[in-house]
Amino acid sequence: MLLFAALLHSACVFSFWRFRPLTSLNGFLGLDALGLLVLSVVSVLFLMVSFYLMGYFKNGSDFSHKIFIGFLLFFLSFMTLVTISRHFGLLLIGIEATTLSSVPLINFVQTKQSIEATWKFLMICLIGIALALLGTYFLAVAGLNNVQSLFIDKLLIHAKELSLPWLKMSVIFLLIGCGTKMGLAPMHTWLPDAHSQAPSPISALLSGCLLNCAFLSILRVGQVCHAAGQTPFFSSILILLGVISMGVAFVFILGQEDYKRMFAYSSVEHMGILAIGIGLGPIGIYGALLHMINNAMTKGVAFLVTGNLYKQYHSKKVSEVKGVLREFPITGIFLLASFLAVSGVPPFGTFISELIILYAAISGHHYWVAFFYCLFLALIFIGIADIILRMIQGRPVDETVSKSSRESLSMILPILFLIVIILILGFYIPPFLGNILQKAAGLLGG
Amino acid sequence: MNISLSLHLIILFVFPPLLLGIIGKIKAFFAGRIGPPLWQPYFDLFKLMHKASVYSVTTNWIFRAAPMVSTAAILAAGILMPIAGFKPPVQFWGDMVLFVYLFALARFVIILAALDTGSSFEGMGASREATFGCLSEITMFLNLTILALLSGKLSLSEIFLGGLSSSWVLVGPVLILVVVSFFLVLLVENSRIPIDDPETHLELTMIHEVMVLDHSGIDLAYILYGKAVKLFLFGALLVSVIFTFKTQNFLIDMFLFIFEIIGLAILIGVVESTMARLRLNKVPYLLFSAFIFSIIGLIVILVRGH
Amino acid sequence: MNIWLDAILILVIILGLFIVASTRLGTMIQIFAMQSMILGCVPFFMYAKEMEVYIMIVALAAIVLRGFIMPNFLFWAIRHVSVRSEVSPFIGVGTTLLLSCLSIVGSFLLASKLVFPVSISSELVIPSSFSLIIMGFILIVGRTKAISQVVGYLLLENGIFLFAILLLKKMPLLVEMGILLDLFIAAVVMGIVVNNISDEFNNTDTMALTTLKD
Repeated sequence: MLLFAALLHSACVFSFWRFRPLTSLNGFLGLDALGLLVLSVVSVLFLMVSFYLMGYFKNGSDFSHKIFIGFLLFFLSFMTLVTISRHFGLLLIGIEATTLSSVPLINFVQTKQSIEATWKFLMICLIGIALALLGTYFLAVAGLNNVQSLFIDKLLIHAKELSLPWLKMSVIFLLIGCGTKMGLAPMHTWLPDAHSQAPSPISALLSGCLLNCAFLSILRVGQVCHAAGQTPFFSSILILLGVISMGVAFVFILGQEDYKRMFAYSSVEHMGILAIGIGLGPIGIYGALLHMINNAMTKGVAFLVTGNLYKQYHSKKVSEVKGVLREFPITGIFLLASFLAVSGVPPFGTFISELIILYAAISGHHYWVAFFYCLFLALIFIGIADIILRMIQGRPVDETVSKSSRESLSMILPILFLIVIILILGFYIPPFLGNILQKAAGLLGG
Repeated sequence: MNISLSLHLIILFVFPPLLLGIIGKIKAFFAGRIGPPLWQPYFDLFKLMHKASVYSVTTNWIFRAAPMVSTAAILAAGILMPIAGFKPPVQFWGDMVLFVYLFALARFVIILAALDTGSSFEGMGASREATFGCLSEITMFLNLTILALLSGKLSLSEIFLGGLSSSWVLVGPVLILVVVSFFLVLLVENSRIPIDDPETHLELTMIHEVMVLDHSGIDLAYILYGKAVKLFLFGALLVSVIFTFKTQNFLIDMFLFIFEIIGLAILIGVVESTMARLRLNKVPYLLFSAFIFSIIGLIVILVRGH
Repeated sequence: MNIWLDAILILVIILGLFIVASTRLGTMIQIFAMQSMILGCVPFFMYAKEMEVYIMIVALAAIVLRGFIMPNFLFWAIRHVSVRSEVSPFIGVGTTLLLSCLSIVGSFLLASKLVFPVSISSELVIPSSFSLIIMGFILIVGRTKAISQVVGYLLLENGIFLFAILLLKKMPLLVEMGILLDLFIAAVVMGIVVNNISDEFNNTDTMALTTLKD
C-alpha cells in the first residue's frame, strides 16, 4: 500500500511540472519554482525508499509495521504541506508536524540508544521550532503597520516597508530555529544521534527530505530578506553558520566509529555547503540549489547502502565491518560509489555543484570562505576515505557473516536508480531541470 | 504643633510593647490557651528594670554599651518616621537613608556585643543575623527607592504624608509587590516565624534570641524595648504604604493608625501561629524572593517612567 | 483596564519565577497550570473594548488546553515515575533564581529598545513574554529530569503565546489554533517518550542519556 501511495504522489508531482497550479485555498497553498524543486526531490526519494522498504521488511506486515507505514504517510503529507505552503505560519505548522510524525519512525526499534536519540531529537527540534515561531511573530510585527499578513507573496511585495529592527530579529530567530531543523552547527546536536539510531530508510528520508524542507523555509526567509534589501545581513549569518558546520563535521568525522554517524556528520557538512552557497550571491544560489538535489540523492544512496550493510553485518561499528567488496560485491560497489558521491568526486553530480559554489566564492572575492571551504572538503574527503576504504577492503572479521543474506532485488534497484541520477547530473543537466533551477534561483535574487 | 509633637513621642515611647502583647495573645488564642495578659511586656520591662545585671568577665565596655546604643538608635529612627499622620520631629532631605542605617547600627552593635561574649552560640547567631541583614537591607532600600520614585521625594515624612496619595490607583500592582516584599523583610528583621521562633529554647535554632542570651537586668529591658519599637516602626512603615489616605482630622487619623497597627500585629500573630519555621538554608530563598519582588517592582516603575 | 493587565502580567512573571525556583515536580506542574489559566485571561483584558468572538474562543481554548488538559496529562505521566523531586539539577536553585532575575532585567531593557509599531495597552507585555521565554530556557538547560525539561518547554511556549496575543487581532485564527493544537500534540508525544524513557531506564534522569556521544 505504501508503494501505491508513493507512486500516486510522484505522479502528481510530475504532473505539476507540466501544469503548475498557482494558488488555491485562499492563497495559503501554492507552488513556485522553489517549492517545486524541493517537492520533486522529496517525491523521488520517497518513491525509492518505499521500494527499498519492501525488501527491508521481509517478514511481512504486522501491527507495528502498519503503524510505521501510517506515520510514514503522515510524514510525506506534512513535507508536501511544507513545500506548497505560501504562508509562513502554515510553513511552520508543517515543519512541526513533520517533527512530531517522525518521532515514532526514529523510535521504531526501541533500544536504550534509540530512546535517547529520540528524546534529544524531540527536545532540540521542538525548541528550534518554538524559536522559529517567535521569529514568525516578529516578522508579523515587522509588517504590522503596512502588510498585516504573513503571506509570502504579500510580504515580498511590501518588503521594503517592513520595520527594520523587528525584521532583523525575526531573521535571527527564524535562522536559528530552522537552522536547528536543518542541521546547521551549532544546533546540529540531534542530527548524528537521530540519523544513526533510526532505521536506515528513515535516515535516508530524514537526510534527504526533512533537512531539505527546513532548507526551504530558510530560503523563504531569504526571499523576504532579498526583497527588503537586507541580503548582506542574511548572507553573512548563513556563511558563518555554513563554515562552522563544515568545521564541526570535519572534527567529528575523523576517527568516527559508527558509519551511520559518519554519514550523518556528512549531512551536516553538506548542509553547511548549502548555507555557504546561498550566502554567496547569484551563482552560489544556483549552485546551492543544484547541490540540494545532488545531496538528497547522494544521501539516499548512502543511507540505503548502510541499510544493506546493517542487514548483512548486524553491526554499526566500522571495526566490525570489513571486506565488503569481497563478500557482497554489489553492496561494496555501491558503498564505494556513495563515498565518492558524498565527497564530491567527479563524475558524480556533487562535484559540479560544489565546483559552482567554489567559483561563486572566488568570483565574489570571498577568498577566506573559499579557502576554508576547500580545506574542509579535502579534510573530510580524507576522513571518509579512511573509514570507507577500511570497510571495503580486507576480509570479514566475523567468519559467520552469513552468506545467505543476499541483498534482495528491491534493496538494490532503488540505490542503483539514485546512483544513475547522480551520475547523469554530473554530466548533463536536462533543460527542464535547468529551467526550473534558473527560475528558483531568480526568486532568491540570482 | 506642640500637641502633635508630644502625641507623636508618646505613641512612639509608650505604645510598642502593647504590640508584643497582642501577638502573644493571638498565638495563645490559636493554641487554645488564654495566655499572658495584654500588658505583660510592660510588666516584664518593669520587672527587669529592678533587677541587677550580671556581666561575664570576658566582656568589656562594648557589652555594657550595646543595649543602650541599639535602643537609642532605634528610638532615633522613630523620630524620623511619621507616625499616626503626625509630622516627625526631625526631617530632612534623604532621611530615609538614615532611617535604614540607624537600624543597621542597632544590629551592628548587638552583633558586636554578641561576639564580645566569646560564646559560640552568640557567635553563631551573630553570623546568621549578619547574613540575613545583608539581603534584607538591600530589599529595604529597593522598596524605599520605589516609594521615592513614586512620590518624587526623598524624605520619609514627605513620602508618607501625601506623596503616595494617587499611587494605588496608578500603579497598584507595583505597590502590592512592595507591600509583600516589605512584609517579608519585616518578618526577617524582627525575627518572626517563619524565620526565627522567638519562643524557642533551643539555642541552636535561634537567630536573634541567642545573640542577646547573655544580657540580663536593665540591659535585657533595653533590648526587649528596642525590639518592640523596631517592630512598631517597621509596622508603621508598612501600614503607611498600605493606607495612604489621610483625613483632615488628626484625632481620627491617629486612631485609624492605631487600629491599623493592631491589625498588623494580629496578622503577624496569625502568620506565626499557622506556619512552621523554615529550615535555615531555605531562609535565603525567602529573602531572595522578597528581593526579586522589589526588583520587579522597580523595573516596572522605571519602564513606566519612560 | 490598564492596571489589571499590569497586575496580571506581573503575577505571571512571579509565577514563572516560582516554577523555576521549585524542585518538586508536582508543584511545578500545578503552578504552570495556574499560570496558563491566568495567561488565558490576558486576551480578555487586552481587548476589552474590541472584543470579538474568535478572540474569546482562542482565550478559552488556551485556558482549557494549557490549564487543564496538559497538566492533567503531565500528572498522568509522572504517576508512572517514582521520582517526585529534582534532587540534583545542573544549576542550583539559588543560581537559577539569580539568572532568572537577570533575565527579567535583561528583557525589560531589550523591550525598552524595541518600538512596537502599533500602540499596545500595556508596556509590560513584551518584557514579560521575553522573560518567560528565557526562564523556560533556563529550566530546560538547567534541569536533568525529563519532566522538568518538558515543563520548561511549556513555559517557553507560554511566553511565545503571550507575545502572540499582541497580534491576535491581525493574525488569522488558523495559525493560532494550529499552534495550540501542535503544542498539545507535542506535549502528548513528549509524555509518551518520557514514559518510554522511564520504562527503559527505570528513571527519567536525562543524565542517563549519555551513551551516544563521540
